[in-house]
Amino acid sequence: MNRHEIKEIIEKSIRTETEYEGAIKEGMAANDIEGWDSLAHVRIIFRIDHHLGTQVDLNATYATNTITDLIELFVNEAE
Amino acid sequence: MYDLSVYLLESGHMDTQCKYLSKLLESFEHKPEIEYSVVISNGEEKKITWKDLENECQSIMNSLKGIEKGVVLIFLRHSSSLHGTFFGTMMAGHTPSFMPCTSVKQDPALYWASHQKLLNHIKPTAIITSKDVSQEILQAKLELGNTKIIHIEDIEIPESKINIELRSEDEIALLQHSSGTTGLKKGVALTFDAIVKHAESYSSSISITEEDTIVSWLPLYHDMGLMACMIMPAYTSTPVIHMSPFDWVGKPHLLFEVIEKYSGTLTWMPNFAFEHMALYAPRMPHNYDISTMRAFISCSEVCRPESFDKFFNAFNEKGVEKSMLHTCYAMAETVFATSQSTLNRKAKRILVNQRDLNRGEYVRIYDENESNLETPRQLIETGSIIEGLEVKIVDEDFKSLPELTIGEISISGTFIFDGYYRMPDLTKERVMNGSYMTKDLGFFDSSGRLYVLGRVDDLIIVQGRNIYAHQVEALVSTLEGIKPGRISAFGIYDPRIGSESMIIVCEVENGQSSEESQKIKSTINKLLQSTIEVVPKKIRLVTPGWLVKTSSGKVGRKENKEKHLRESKGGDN
Repeated sequence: MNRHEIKEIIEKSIRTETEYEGAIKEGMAANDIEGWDSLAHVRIIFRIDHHLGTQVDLNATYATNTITDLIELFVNEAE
Repeated sequence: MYDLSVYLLESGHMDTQCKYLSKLLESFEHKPEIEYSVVISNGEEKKITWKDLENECQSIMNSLKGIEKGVVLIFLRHSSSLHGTFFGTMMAGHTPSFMPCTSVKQDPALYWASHQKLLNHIKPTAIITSKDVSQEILQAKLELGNTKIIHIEDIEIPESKINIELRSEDEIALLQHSSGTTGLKKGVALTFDAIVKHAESYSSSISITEEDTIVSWLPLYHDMGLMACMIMPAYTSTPVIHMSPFDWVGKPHLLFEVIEKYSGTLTWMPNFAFEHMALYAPRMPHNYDISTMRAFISCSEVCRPESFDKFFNAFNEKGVEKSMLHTCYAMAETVFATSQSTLNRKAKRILVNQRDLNRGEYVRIYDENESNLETPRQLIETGSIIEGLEVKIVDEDFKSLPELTIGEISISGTFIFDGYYRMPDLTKERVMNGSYMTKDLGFFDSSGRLYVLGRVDDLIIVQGRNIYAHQVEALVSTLEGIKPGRISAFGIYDPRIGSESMIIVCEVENGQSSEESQKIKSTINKLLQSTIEVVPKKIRLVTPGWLVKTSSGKVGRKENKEKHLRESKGGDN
């Protein structure tokens, strides 16, 4: 799976769990997206993991600041 | 079975030391090598014996030597030091209160700034914390006055044993802080007498013994974690296995892993946790044996039968039975439990019409197969009132209502709180003629089972956390770009997560660019996450004049919630 496909899965997972309807840009952080609280964060990660067949370390996801960081984390994990 | 009264008499504590601390002293003396608790942190398990606990208490008492008696705030992350710090503070004659620390997503500066008002109000004599948290406090430049900071890393066991301070039954044993109506956290003051009477009553209602094992991921600054999983089990000598809430939320299977390993029998968790576990079920890495469990008890937010169903369907093959799923109605003001469903029996469900569920209305119960209801809703009992408390359902004039009629739940009895710490006006407002007015709506059925429906006031319960709408509105009102006072916050039940979500509608000046709007929303998110630990599900920025005012000129929450739902076609519901 390439970066673009992973990015689409991440974006879809964020929208499903937060029901956020605005534009999602790579430079955005969790604070920029309504509904992205700590529980939504875990649910987003569960959902991405489910689609990609990965099991990322949740602590590593907490260390990400932007959606770009999250994409890179999953790109590395999916390799 | 050891007789406490004989021990008290023989040890010279009779008529002097309070019963709660005497019970701990008895355990120190008679079962030093017996396991008191296991704390799991970052994958490491630390077993604590009663002797270990005593040593930790002694070290804390040593560190508090010479400090004026008063409230001691404990800001410690999940660790094996929590219990000894709390009990050691009590034994040193102080009043302990657990407080939450910052989480990774919170801005420490905003978080600590929001605590200045609380520190000014409480004037704690000491704060016990770790060096990393202390660094945050220092950087936030909090005005601490005479409050002494004690680092947990520096405490040392005394060379000779320190005598435990004598505490009387009517002294304040601890403060339990929760969200307050004015933005200032309120400290629920509980006496030693109250915590003992609660422990004896509640432990009897669920038949808890030393043979049980409690498994918990609940934080100890929350009443459910503190009372059900620390204060009561320490009194009944029931071992508790503590996990970190952060570990559990990311790896919910840890709960089952620990239950299997330690033959767990009891656990408490809020409604959303049943949903969270069920969501995670397909990822469970192992077929755990959890057949030792007696009860998974749902508490701290309205219990939803559909959440139990999801949990049961997800884990029935792993040994979860319907008779294991239980409910409890609890609050810090009654120490913890007020009612509890009967263990070993399925919690009762009834079918009602949602339209009947208004204050003052009679609740008609329908046959479970009734299919003609336009707005059917299944309710689950929260059980019978536990011994020592009396609960009435009252109308607006505080007159008792008959069974199956909805009113406010009022509680009196032998373990009601002693008031909100240094808040006499608020205490007077909530305690009337000896009864605590909960502001919860509910009714009794003909068998004396209590059903809890929701709130009279503007409290929003988000994943077990209590948040007052007007507290949120006041916080958001201070931000640039928002029209002061032109904000409405309200809660909407989100069935996907099994909890309420918070919606905020704010009026902003006309002509905001999308970048400016995005900036305002991000600022609101950051502020609320860092101060009240809740992120709104939706922030709606509207033009001046959008918000509906009541006849008294106030921004009406109910009216604005209805308008918002109409305009979003129920999309948030």
